[in-house]
Amino acid sequence: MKMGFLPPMILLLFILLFVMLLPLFLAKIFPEFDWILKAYFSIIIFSFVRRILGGGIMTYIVSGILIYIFVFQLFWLFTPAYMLFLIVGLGLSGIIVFGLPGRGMGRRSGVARQ
Amino acid sequence: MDLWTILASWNPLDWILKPATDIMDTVNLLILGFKIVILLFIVQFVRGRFGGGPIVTILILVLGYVMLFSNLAPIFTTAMFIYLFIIFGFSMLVMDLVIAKPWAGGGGEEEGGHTTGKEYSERLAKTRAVQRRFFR
Repeated sequence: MKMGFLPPMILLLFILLFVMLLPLFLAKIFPEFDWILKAYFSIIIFSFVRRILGGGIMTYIVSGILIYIFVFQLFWLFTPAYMLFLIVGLGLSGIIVFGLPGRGMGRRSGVARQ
Repeated sequence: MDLWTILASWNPLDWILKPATDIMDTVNLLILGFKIVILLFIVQFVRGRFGGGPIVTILILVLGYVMLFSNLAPIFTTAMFIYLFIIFGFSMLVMDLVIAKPWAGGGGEEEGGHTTGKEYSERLAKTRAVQRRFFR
């Protein structure tokens, strides 16, 4: 049975969107999670800037600007982007892609059953 | 405020223009953030190659101006965006898709692919018939 191009891609998009948007929903439901997430992102941005600029006053200024923009103003955009970065950067996308119906794990396990 | 005042003050263009201006504000903020991040990448690159000093600072400023604020800025920022996508591992996602080919089909009967519900129920009926004969 041919799956076609669109159904697996829509499924992949749906899974990625779910994983990307889950922290936003959790942050909306639990305000504590929202603050924990914001603190985590602030630490990540600060350590990123400190790695490049060192421990000077410029580090605090630049990381403050970036934290204001990405964590407080564009939180709804930064959180899904960071989740997508985590999925792709840690190689979890391979699990999702090979788990899709088609020539991935699903079909191989189907062959093994027979 | 009564209904007539609300209706009189209602401007249909607000429904179109206000979200559009909001979106443009967001996009401008995003572009500003990305420009700062790209400037940080430039600083990292130049310091990694040439160390510290006043000449390096001037070089960073010149490169920052050329790559972020000159007429060539759209080209450089687009290239930088693609570069960021590649180093964050999006090429891995594309390669996984090309290797796995989930759109190529789930296999047919000749390939021994997925079992349909009808086939499964037929096989179950056969197994039960064998069991009935065996345990009679």
